[in-house]
Amino acid sequence: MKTRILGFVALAAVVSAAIVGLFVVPPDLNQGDAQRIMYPHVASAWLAYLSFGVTAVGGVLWLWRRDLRFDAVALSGAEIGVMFTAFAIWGGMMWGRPVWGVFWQWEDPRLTTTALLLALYVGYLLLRRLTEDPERRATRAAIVGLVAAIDIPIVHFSVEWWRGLHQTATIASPERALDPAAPMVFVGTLMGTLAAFSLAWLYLMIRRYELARAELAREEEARRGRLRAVQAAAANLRSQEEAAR
Amino acid sequence: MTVAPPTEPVLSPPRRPWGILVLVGVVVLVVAWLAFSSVGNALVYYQEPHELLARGDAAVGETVRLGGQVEPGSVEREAAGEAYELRFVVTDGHASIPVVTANAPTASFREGTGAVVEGALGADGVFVATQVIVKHDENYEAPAPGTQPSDNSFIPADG
Amino acid sequence: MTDAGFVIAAYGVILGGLALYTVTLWRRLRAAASRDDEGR
Repeated sequence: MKTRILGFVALAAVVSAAIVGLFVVPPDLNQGDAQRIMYPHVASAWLAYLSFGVTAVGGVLWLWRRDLRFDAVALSGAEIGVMFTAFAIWGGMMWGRPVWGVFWQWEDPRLTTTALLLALYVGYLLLRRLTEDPERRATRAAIVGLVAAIDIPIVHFSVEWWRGLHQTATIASPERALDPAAPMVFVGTLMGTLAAFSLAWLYLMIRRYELARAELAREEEARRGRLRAVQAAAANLRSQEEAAR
Repeated sequence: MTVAPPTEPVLSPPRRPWGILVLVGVVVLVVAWLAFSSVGNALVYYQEPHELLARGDAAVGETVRLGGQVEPGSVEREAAGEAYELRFVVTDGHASIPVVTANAPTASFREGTGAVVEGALGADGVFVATQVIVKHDENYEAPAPGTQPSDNSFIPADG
Repeated sequence: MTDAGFVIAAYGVILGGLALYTVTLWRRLRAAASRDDEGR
């Protein structure tokens, strides 16, 4: 019930944030209206980082505490993170064409490392489908999730470490955090969009986790069913042997 | 009537984890390659004017990306019918290279903005660009009250 | 395509994608719940 209320609040917040981003804030002086894409683009990218961070932490907790609920959290983070990464890439392309003049540049480090991030976590989700045993699956996924997480800081700092087309951080860097290179209306709109998307993220994480638990319970039920069938067959065989004797 | 319950492995035979180890290894290698080869300048997205000029005649005719600032006051446009020509100077503060292109950049092109141009340096020292990419920076600015961004706009086709 | 076109494409796919994922998640949850009932 509480989750449902969260869902309604998140919906209202996301719709409001979109209205503010599209119609209320002024466009950027140099980039024009295309700059409005920055709000969902950056919010999506930050939530993708958060999602994959949750996947890494969930994986570590599974390896440490051997509780499959942590693996369910890790799976939820990966699936939702893939969605937000795709949103960040799509928004970036739609922003890049009118402002840079190109949709995509493979040689740009930020773009390439983000594409790698998407590929890594799509791989993570595919890998999970290849393993049937829940505990083996959780362990393999935890390892892949940890290795893939190396790319998160690489994506974020790629704009500082290497020369590229993508601009550096306006807010999320040590020098910029307290002195963002944008007017407060832009920063406020970005923060509002981030808050709205975070509510939607939380709602989706809770629902995806519930689904993961339901699927685990079903797998466990199926396993018990097979176990009972084998036991019954064994008992049947035993009684036939006894009858024959 | 005691039948020992079958143990788990009967139902799910253990599999060898080689696949996963190979996958993890590949991922580590790719990440390491990306992280370190770029540091070693193997993957430089663009060259700055002083770097391109330092290579002398060797750089002439080679298709490269050149990046820097559009020098204020250097932009000249000519649009007569079908023919379009844009000339500007790309500078990195140490060296400058004049650029000519027949392809209009986006409306976010400005004097003083960052630009990455693709093309080749000619023997006459003029860089002939097939594409001009505008590299905007991390700074944003709202238009002054009562004005529209278009008031500040560079109109690529404007003669 | 104009700037407005790109802005609509970006917002449309992101907001539409969020909505689509949410609805799909509800369907998957309902399917998982109904399978549970069959099991019992």
